[in-house]
This record gives sequence, C-alpha cells and structure tokens, in this order.
Amino acid sequence: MKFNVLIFAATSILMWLSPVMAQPTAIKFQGNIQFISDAPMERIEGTAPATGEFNIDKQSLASISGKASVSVAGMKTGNDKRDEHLRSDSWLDAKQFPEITFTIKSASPNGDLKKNGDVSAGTVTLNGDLSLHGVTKSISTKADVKWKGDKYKITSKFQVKLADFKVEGASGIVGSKVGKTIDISVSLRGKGN
Amino acid sequence: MRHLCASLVVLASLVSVASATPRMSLPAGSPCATCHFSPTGGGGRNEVGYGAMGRTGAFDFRVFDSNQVVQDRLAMGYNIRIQYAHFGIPVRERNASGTESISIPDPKAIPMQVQINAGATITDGLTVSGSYNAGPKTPDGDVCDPVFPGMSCFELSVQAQSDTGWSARAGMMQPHIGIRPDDHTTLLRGDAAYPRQPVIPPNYAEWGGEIGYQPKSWFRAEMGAFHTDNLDKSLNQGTKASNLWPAAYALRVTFLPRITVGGGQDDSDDFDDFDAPPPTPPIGINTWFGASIYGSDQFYIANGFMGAGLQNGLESRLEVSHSERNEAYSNSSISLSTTYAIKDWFVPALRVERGVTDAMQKSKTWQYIGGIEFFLMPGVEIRPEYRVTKTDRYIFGQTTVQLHIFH
Repeated sequence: MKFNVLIFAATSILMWLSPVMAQPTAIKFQGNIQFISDAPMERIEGTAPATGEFNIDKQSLASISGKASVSVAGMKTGNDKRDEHLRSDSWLDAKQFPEITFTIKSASPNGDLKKNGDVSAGTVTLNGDLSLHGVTKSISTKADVKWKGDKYKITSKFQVKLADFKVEGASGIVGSKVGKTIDISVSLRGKGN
Repeated sequence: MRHLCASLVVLASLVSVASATPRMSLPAGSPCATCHFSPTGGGGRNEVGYGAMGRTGAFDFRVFDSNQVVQDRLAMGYNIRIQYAHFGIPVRERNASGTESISIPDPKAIPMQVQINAGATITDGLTVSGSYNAGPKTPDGDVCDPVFPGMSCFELSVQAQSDTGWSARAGMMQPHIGIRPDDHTTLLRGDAAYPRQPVIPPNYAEWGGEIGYQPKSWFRAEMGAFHTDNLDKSLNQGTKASNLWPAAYALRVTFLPRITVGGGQDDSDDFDDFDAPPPTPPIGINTWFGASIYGSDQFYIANGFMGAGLQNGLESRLEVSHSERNEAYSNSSISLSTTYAIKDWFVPALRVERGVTDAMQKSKTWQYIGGIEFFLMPGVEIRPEYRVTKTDRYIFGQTTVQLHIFH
C-alpha cells in the first residue's frame, strides 16, 4: 500500500513537473537579414543569408537559447562594386571576420503566449553577444517567435552602431554617405519537433 | 583659315573628355561624391571611387592596388585619353575644271587629355582636391593652352561636409549645371550653329563658392555664386566682351527617389507558404529628376533632367537644356541616352541628341552615338564608337576609338 502511494506521489510530481522539465527542441533555422543604411547622401539597402540553431521550449520562451550567423561574403546591396567595398578590409573585412554572430545569453518573455488558431506566438527580449568585425558586444533585442506545429518563424529588428564595432570605412564616408547606425531586420524559418 | 578654325573646333568637339560617369551613379544610387572628391564628379577619385574603377577589367591585371599616396589622407591619379578619329568635317571642294568633290580628313590618333589629379582629406569632413589638364604646349612651357575659349586648365577647391547634410565648397570649380556629362561633345552644352563652340566648354571652371544641402538621400539642392571670367571668354569666342555681370548665379534642385520592389520581413501568421524560399532581396530602382539654372546678366542656361537606373543594370537619362545669350541668340537641346552594363567591364551605350540654335538663322544638329565602354583591365578602357552628326549642311558618320588610361 505504502509502495503504491509512493508510486502515485512520484508519478504526480513528475507529471506536474513535466512541462517545466520538457526538453527544448533544437531547431535549425534559415533565412536572411535585411540591413538599411540611411545617410543624408545615400540610402543603402541590402540583404544577407542567415542561419541559426535555437533550442525552443514551446511552453516557455524564457529558456530559448542558441546562435544565429550571417555570412559577410553573402551580403548584397544590389551593386557588386559596393558589395566589394563592404567586404573589404576597410569595412567588414570578410576575409578576417567571415561571420557575424549573435549568441543568446538569456531571454525574458514579454507577456503571455498568444494563440491565433493553430498559430502560437510570443515576444521575448533576447540578451546576447553580437560579434561583428572582431568585436563582441552585449546587446538586447526583442524577437517575435511564432510556430504552427513543427514550423517556426523568428523575426527581430535592432540597430547596430558601426563605431561600437570599430567599422570605420573610408575616411569621411560614415555619417554623410553611410549611416552611423545600421537598421537590421532578421527573418528566420525553422522546422523541428 | 575658316576651314582650319572649324576643323580645330570640330577636332576638339568630336572626342570625349570624360569626367563624371552618370551611368554609374544612377544604377548604384550613389551621388558623384561617393566616388569623386568633387561633388559634380570628374577629376580625382577617392578611396571608394578607386575601389570601384581600379578593380574593373575583363582581365584582373592590376598595376596599382590603390591610389592612396598617404592612406586615407592623400590620393593621386591621372587620366590620359588618346583619341583616334577623323578630326574635322567633310569639305566640299571644286577643282579648276569645276568638278565637285568631298574631302574627309584622314583619321589620326591624338592625345586628347592628359590630366593629373589629387585629393587630400584634411579631416573627415574637409577635403581639398584639384586637377590639372596639360595641353599640347605644356612641355614647351606654355602650361595653360586650352583648346576651347573658356576651358580651365585646372580645378582646385576646398569642400566641407557635415553629417547634417550641409556642405560648402569654394575655389576654381565647375558649377552644378544639369548633370555633368561624361562626354563633352553633348549638344546639351553645345551650340548647333557653325562653328560648334560649346556654350559650356569641357573642363569649364570658375572661381566661386557654393552651398549644398542634402538632408535626406532623396533630396539635394545647391546654390552658388561664381566669377564669369571663363564664361565671358566662352560666349565671346575667347575675347572678353564684358557683357556679363562679374558674377554668375547657380541653382540646382534634385530629387532622387528610390523605388524598392520586393524584400520585406516575413512576420505574418501565414505558415502556408512556409516552404517557399525566404523573401527575395529587394530590387532597387534609382531615379532622379531635377532642374538647374546658371546665368549672369543676359546669359542663362537652364537644364531639366530625369533618369532611372536598375541596380547593376540598365539606366536611361533624358536631359533638356535651353540657353540664351541675349534676345537674338538661343540654344535648345535634348539628349536621350541609355547604357546597359552586361558586365561591369562591358557596357554598350547609345545616345541620341538634337540641338537647335536660333541666331541670325536657325541651325539644327542631330547626333547619334553608339559605342561600348570596354575595360580591358583595371585602369585601361577602350571605347569604340560610331558617331553620326547630321547638320543642315552635311551628314558625317565615322568610327572613333578612344584609349583611356587612368589611375
């Protein structure tokens, strides 16, 4: 009898704990980033392919972890010459720093998860390390996470100050022809259970 | 003598003294100042400009990797152009027996431009730049030997640029007159009447100052005041007739809207197209339209211009100009041009122009130019062209070739 009670109690506790202890799913993402430099003399819009691998717990976005990467060589602004400049050692130096990465260090959900039919969605503030041009800085950004079944979408928008990452470019260009701050939009899709 | 003068003028007007390259600026959506020290384009290239043109070629054989003499501070370069053409115009001759014949000058190759240029970056917002054009007599000590009255042998200006969009420049420089062409034979600055002395000659420059304001990438305005020494010489065939004020005004307003098609962030709740490729990069169509006026006393030249360019591809431009020297002398011109960069080193180009000069009598000139900008290797361009000039008195078609060596 005592044994049965113990089994029942243990099972109940495990069942109660199960959502908390549920293993986050490791999901591989693919997508792109869009970047916009809006300087008085020139507006530059570009894209670059992005990949990511995130561990996502559908019950709690607080446990989201993982890393996203952007290939510097894949950055395109619609003008091959400008892209060459972008990748050159005066700017992002693709040879020495081929990737831009963001690694999540912690996450804070903003509000409850929302449900719209089969689609679940939540907003989370991601705190992490952004590595660009050989410089790593802590940043925070809001991200929208949506999923339907085993399909996930993550989007986020944030800004990067070029000076923070020691991207100086050719003399006299940043400020007048290239924005001091670059607007970044991330759009990723992944599939996994 | 009359034919000699005409030939000299046509000699110079048949060839290209290229400066800025609007066909590059428009598709890229970048102003001339992105690549050149001078905001009107032409002359020395900055680090970005050198990075663009110094690496363009069918064969990537580079003599130089950079034009930076002192990194980020001092750049130096040159432009040398050798032109092969029939220099002159068809001449109808009648021999002693009364038989008529038409003689066309033999083709020959001559150095059309020997320019050295330099640009110094004093601080991030302050630059000094200039260029000097050597003439045929420069080696003999006659350092300034312009082909056209009103041409300047040099440009030299100081430019200050702030992050707020305000800029100022002063010195010996070309005012903003429409879009600075990359071929000075354009009728937009020419005179359809005989002889074809351009209204605004190639390498035209005056002492003066200018203020520019570009708060956003889609709007730019410039306003300036300039001396009229060279303008006076140009309008009066080399003599200073002093029928101009000592100062000229210049005003140009340009709108540069950019149309973006596609792209965008996928933040919808729609998962139906989940397996479709991610949003494609946006396609940018860069456009510009605007107007300028430059004048003094009884003279003015007004330009209106518009253009559109697909990134890395096709671009077309339309420009009109109208100039009046006084009530009895006016020029009206229209120019339509298009280029397509099949490769950045292989660019077919077409241009059609019409000019009408209304003076003692009306003169009309058409100009049709088709050619290819072929960059053999970085710093070496070969530009074969077929040019047809149709005037009230003759139609003259010829193949020309220009060798452009630059750094």
